Amino acid sequence: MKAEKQKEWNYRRIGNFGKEFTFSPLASCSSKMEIDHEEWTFSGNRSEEHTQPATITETLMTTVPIVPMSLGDIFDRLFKLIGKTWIRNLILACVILIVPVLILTVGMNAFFSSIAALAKENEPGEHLAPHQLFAMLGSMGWFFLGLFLFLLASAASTLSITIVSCAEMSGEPMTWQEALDRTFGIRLARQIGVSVIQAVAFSGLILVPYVMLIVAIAMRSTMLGLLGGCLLLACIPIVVFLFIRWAFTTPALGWESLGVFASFRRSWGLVTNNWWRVFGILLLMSIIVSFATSLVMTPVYLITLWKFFASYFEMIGSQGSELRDPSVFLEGLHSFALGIGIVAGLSSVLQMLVTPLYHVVLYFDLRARNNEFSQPSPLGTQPLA
Amino acid sequence: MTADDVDLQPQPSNAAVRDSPELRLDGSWETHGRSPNTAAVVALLGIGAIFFNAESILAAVAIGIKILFSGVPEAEGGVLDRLAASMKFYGGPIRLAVLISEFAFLLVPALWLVKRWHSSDVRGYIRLKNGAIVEILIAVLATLAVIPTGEFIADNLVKLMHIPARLLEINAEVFTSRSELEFGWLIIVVCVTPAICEEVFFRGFIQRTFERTMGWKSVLLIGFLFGLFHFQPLGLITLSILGILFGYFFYRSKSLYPSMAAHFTNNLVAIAVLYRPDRTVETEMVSTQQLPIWLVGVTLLVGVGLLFLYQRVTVRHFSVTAQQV
Repeated sequence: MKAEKQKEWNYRRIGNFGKEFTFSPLASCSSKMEIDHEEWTFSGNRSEEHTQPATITETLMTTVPIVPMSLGDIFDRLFKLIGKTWIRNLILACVILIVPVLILTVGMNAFFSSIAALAKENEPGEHLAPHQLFAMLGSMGWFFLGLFLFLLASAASTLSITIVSCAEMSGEPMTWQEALDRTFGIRLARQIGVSVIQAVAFSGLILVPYVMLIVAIAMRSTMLGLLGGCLLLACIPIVVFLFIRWAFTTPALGWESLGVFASFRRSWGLVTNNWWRVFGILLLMSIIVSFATSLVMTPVYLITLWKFFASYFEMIGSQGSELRDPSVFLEGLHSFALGIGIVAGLSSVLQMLVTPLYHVVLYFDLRARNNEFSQPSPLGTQPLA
Repeated sequence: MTADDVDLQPQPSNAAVRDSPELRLDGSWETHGRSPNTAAVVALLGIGAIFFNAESILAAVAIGIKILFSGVPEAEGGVLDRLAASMKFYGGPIRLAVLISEFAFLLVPALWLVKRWHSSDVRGYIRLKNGAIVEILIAVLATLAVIPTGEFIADNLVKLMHIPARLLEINAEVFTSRSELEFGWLIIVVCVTPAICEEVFFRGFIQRTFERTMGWKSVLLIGFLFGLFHFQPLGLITLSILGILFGYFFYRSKSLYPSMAAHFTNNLVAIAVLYRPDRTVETEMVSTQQLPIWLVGVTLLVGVGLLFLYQRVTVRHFSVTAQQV
C-alpha cells in the first residue's frame, strides 16, 4: 500500500514538471472504440479485450492518475485543465453563443430605442398610439426570442465544454469539432430536459411561498404572510441541497451518455456522503469565479457603456446638483443595449471557460472517491461497454 | 552572455532559490509539486474576494456603529449635497474599515499562505531584505517623476466622461484632511498601510510566485492586475502604470523596500494635495485645471532617465554569480 502511494506520488511529481513519460496500465481501450453507453453499468466490468497491457505516452494532464484529490490538487488540476482546453472551449463558446447574443443585443437595442423615442415624442401622462405600442411589443418579441436562444445556447456550450473537459481528463483529447458533433443531438435534448426540470424545481420552490407572501400582503393576512415567510425560509436550504445534489448531471449525461432521470440519479449518487465537501468546494469556486469575472468585467463595462455613462454624468452635471434633466440621458439609452449585449456575451464566455471545468474536475474526484477507477490509469474513466 | 541577457531568460520553477540560495521551499504546495502559478492565481482571487467582501462588511458595521452613537447626518440641498455630507460623516468609519481589512484580510492571509504553501522562511520568500538606500531613493524619485503623467491620463479620462467636479470632490472626501492630526491619521491609513499590506501581497507574494515561471513578464501581469484590483475603471491605466513601476522596482532590486517606499510616496502625494489645513478658507478641493503638457513631458523624460539609472544600479542583482546559475 505504501509502495502504491509512493508510486502515485512519483507520477504526480513528474507530471508537474511537464515531462512526458511512459507507463503501462493494466487496462486500456481504443479511442475509436464504439461504446454502447446505454448498456454500460457503474460497476465497470471490463472485457478481455480491454485488459491487455498497453504502453501509452501521454502528456501532463492525461498521465496524472485520477485518485481522490485534496483541495489543492483540485485547484492544480483545474488550472492545468483550463490551460489545456481554453482555446477549444473559447471557440466552442463563441461559435455557439455569438448568434443568440447578437439577436439578444438587437432586441434590447430596439426595445431601449423605442423607450427613448416614446419619452421624446410623448408628454407625461399621454396615452401610447397603437403604432408605438406595436413597435415596443415587436422589439420586446425580439428581446425574448434572443433571451430564449441565449439560454439554449448557454446549455449547449456548457455541455460541449463539459465533453471537451471530460475527454481531456480521461486522456483522450477531443477537438472542438468533435465536441460540437457530440453536443448537437440527443445529448443536447437531454441537457435541455435536465435544465428545464432543474429550473422548474428551483423556481417552483421559491415562487410558491413568494406568491403566498404577495397574496398575504394584498389580503392583509398575517397568518398567510407568516406561513409564506416560514415556507420561503424553509425552501432556501432545500434549493441549496438539491442544487448540490444535482450539480453533476451535465457531466453524467454529456460524458456517460445517460438519460435525463439517470443523470439525476447519477449525480445524486456521486454526491452521497460528500455533500458538505461538494458544497464547500462549489461555494469557494463560485466565489472565486464571480470575483474574477467582476474584476475583468469592470473596465469592460466602462468601455462598452462609455456613451451611456458619459450621458448619465452629463445629466447630473447639467443641472448643478439636481437630477432634473433626463433628456441628455435618453441619448445614452441608444448605446446602452449594445453595451449590455457585449458585456453579457463576454461575461458568459468567461464563466463558460471555468465553471463547467471545475464541475468536471470535481466529478472525476467524486468518481475516484467512489472507487470507480481500479488503478491510477487515465483510461479508467472511459465508459466501457 | 551579459548579466542582462541572463535576466531575460525564462526562469525555471525553482528560481526562488536564485537570489536566496539558502531559501527552503518546504511549504505544502511545493512539496506536492504543484504549479506555483496556480498557487498565485488561487491566492490572488481567494484573498481578493475575502478582502473586498470583508472590507464592505466592516465599513457597513463601522458606519452602523457611528449612526448608533451620533445619529444620521442632516443635510440640506440637492442629492449631491446630501451625498457630500454623508461622505464627510462616514469618512472616519470607512478609513477604519480600510485599515483593519488591509491588515487582517490582505496582509495576514498572504503571510499565512506563503508560510503554509511555499516556505517557512517568509521574509526570505517575500524579499523583505537587502534594501539598498540608493535603490530606494531612485525608486522614490522615479515615482515622483511619473505621477504627473498618471494624473494627466486620469484627468483626461475624467473629462471625456463628463464627470462633474462636485462628484470628484465627494469621491476625494475620504482622502481629505483638515487638521494636522487628521493628516497624520491619513498617512497611517492611506500611505503606510497600503505600502506594507498591498506590497507584501502583490509584490512579495503574487509577483514573486509568478516570477518563478514567468520572469520579467510577471512585472507587467501583476502591474495590470494591481490596476484592476482597485475597481476604478477610469484610473485603470494610471494604476496599472504605477503597479508596473512598483513591480519593476521589486523585480530589479530583489527587495520589497523600494516598492514599499515608492507606493508610500505616491499615496503621500495624493493626500498632501488634498490637505486643507485652513477650515475658514473655501478652497477648491479637486483641481479642474489640467497639468500643462510640457510639465508632463519633462517629468516623464526625467522618470524614464531615472528608470534607466535604476536598471544600471540594480544590475549587480542579475550577475551570473548572484543568480547562482
